[in-house]
Amino acid sequence: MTLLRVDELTVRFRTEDGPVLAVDAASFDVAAEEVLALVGESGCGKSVTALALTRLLPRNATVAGTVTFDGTTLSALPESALREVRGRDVAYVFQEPMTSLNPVLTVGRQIGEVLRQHQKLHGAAARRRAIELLDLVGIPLPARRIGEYPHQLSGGMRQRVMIAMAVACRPRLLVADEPTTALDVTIQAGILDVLRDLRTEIGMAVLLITHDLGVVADIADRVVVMYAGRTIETAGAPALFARPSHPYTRGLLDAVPNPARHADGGLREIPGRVPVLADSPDACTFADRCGRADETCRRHRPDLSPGPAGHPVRCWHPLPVPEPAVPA
Amino acid sequence: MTVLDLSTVEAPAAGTLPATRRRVLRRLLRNPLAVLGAVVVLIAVGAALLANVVAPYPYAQTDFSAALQPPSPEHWFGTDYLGRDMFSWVLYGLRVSVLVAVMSVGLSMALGVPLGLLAGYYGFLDPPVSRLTDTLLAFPFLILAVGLAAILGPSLATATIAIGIGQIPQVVRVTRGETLRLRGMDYVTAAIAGGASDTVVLRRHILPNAMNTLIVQATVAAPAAIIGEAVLSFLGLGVRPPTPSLGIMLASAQPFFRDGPWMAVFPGVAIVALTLALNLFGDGLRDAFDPQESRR
Amino acid sequence: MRRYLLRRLLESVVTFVLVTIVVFLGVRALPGDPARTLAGEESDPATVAQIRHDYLLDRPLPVQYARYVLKALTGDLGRSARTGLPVRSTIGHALPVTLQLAMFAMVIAVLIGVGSGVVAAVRRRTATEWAANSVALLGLSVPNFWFGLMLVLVFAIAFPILPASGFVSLFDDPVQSFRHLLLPAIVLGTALAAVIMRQTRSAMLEALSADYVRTARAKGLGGSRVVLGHALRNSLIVVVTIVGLQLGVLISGAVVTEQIFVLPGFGKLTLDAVFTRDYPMIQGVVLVTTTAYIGINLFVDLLYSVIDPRIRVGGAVL
Repeated sequence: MTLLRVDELTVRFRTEDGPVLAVDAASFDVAAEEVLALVGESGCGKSVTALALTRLLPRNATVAGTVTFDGTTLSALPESALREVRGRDVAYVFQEPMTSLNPVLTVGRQIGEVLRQHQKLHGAAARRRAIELLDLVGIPLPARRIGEYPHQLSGGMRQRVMIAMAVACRPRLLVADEPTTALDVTIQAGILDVLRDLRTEIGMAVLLITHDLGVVADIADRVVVMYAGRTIETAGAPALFARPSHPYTRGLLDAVPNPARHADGGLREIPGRVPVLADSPDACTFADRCGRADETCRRHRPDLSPGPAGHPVRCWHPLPVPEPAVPA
Repeated sequence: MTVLDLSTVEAPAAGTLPATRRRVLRRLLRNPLAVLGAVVVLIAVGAALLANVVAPYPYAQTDFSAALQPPSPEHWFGTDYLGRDMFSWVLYGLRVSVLVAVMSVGLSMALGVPLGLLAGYYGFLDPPVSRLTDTLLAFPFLILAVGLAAILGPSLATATIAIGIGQIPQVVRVTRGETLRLRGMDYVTAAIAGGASDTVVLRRHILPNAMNTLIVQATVAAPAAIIGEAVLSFLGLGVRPPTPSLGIMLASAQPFFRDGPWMAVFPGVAIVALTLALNLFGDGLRDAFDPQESRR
Repeated sequence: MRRYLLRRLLESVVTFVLVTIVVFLGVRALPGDPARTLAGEESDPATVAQIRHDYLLDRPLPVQYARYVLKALTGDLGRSARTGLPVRSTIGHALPVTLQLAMFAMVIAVLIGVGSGVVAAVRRRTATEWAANSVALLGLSVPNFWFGLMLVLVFAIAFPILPASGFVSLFDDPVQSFRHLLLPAIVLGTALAAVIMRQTRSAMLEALSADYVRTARAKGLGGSRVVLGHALRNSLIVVVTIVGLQLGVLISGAVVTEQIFVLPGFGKLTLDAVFTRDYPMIQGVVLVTTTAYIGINLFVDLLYSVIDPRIRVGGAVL
């Protein structure tokens, strides 16, 4: 069952240096209770996509396209109705738990706000529920932590607070924007465990925004790869890792330190950087960095269509399906 | 786990100073309010400095037969209780305003900038300089002026010194902040590592780069100084008659509120026009120097 | 927290000592013989010598300074050279006038300043923001004493609906007190409001673009909850500091305002003391002002730490 459908989502920003096209007709679905990873380099538009779902973008952004959640067209809802959805049906966890939590309000107060807003819980009831939630995300001594301020907690604890706040109303969809990026490697695994547990316990879908393929391999069911605002490849996680069709996806995988893949132990980088576009070009946006690019790529826009590996890919010259790999 | 940020770190293009200055000027010229401010400031300062040429009447010329006349084609701003032409008076008053503003801002910069540089550059000098500025800050501007007027007697020089000293803490704070910021810059570290002496670092690397901020500070200080002079002279703590000052004109207007309200209106309008123009120009200049910061 | 408190307290004491030295030396630098001044214009040499001895004026400066500080600490600020009344009680009579004026002005300043600052930040790029900014810029450019004169001209002379001068205490007759203090408080309040507005606006703009505000919106909170509960709550730290720093403006402004509206307050006392060369009074007035100023700055810092838990709890100042 499809929970979230994003169709031709386009986001433009007005900036001092002219217009910037951040998301270029991105389309993807999230099924109920699935973990979908949205993957790409920084600047590819994945975070903007996440914020655009419930119109959380700054004022200089214009959004086109439709976002449908559980049969409701979010993109057509007025702000007041959208507010009912935010935090209750669609909840967010952001990258920087330090700056994303309000420094001058206690943890309990910040969790309590969500409960008051959506579940009309007040006073002692809200407090009890907030303690439960902190306990749920694995924070020791929750009754004491509830009166503390964000700066008194460690980075990992803060991110757990963010998660507790997000799942307070048992949302159907949790949008986690780089939830582990700002944290130490040792703490990342713990946060992913919490997300995994909550997903089964609450039965929510997770839209995971990340550039970290390690995290993807760890937790994602399906993957959408984004490049320069476009979705360029969609596949189940195992299929994507085994049979990448887009040269860019292949490049991402090659940049992961993986002794099995690189006998020489070295990493291969994709040369160049993500372009900043003012408008959607009639070309493949990856052409300038792609070894396989030819005149077709530079003159015609590729569509997202089933590739040689069977899943959709946006490429004129997708990679052939590799022979079954022999472990080194 | 890997980070896929593949962008390379590029050194920012080292813009040459004249090019930067041209860009600042271009940004400034694009801002109509700043241009308007600059034009008004130039006209007011020009008219003030050339008061003896521009003014239609000598400022001290009294004419009792023409006392307390409302504004007319002969006397644009009317006449005061001695029959003096208010327009000419205002021009001469502006001259004093400009003089005090330039001298007091100069005084605060001359003392404040070195203190700020030292406090920002040498950590051990920071606490004593901070105590010094705190001590100065403990005297509200008018209390300082009161004390100085008691010691030195009220005069143009007293007003200038009081305003100048009153602005020192702000100048020290701004300079110190800039010095601290610039000291952390790579090129300053590189200069120090390259064996440049402290004097060279301060004079060649830190001071020139702190200049933009100091210029903006001056555009904030100048209107404050103009108002300060007017207030002090209004209270009798600054410029004394017969030297023409807008503040004195306003003070002498008080008994004539009923019979000659224009006496109280025009000197004030002149102050507002000049300070508003300076503020507009200063705001524009700040935006032109640092578009990122001001656009937040 | 305790260490921070202690350090602030120590700094304030050092500043206070420096201030007393400056005031003390300032009075020594006054023209004329202080003994003769104290004795009065027409006194015989014997009296002057007696006073010189009584006031330790024949002793070294450090001894004089120590005596001055000791007496000041016990509240003895000497007698007015003009009226012969104790400086302390004269100040005591004038202070309530100024305090009532200052409180009234502060209320006006915070209401206008914080209110319009928040509105200007929230209504970004609208006519409302433009208007609020323009008024603030005008407020910074108009000398408040002239604004006071214009108010008198309009509301007391052209349309005589409010008194142009005089003082009635709030505790004697609240209505008359309000009528008498309204114009002066507006003059003093608007002088502060412009600065408070600008600072509130820029602090709010920064807070509104902060990550935690995005979080608050992502939680589904309503617009006013986000603006007041999250953004303003954080901006208050800046606003309180600014209000504290504006105290000097408030004191200076009170001197001017009391002069225009003929209020028998502390500011008027100060000016009269200067014009009549009443040195003990000047010394007392300056000392009281600066001490109050240091004290209130300390208080603002403490308040600051109450508002900002990062300072209050754990003592880690960012």
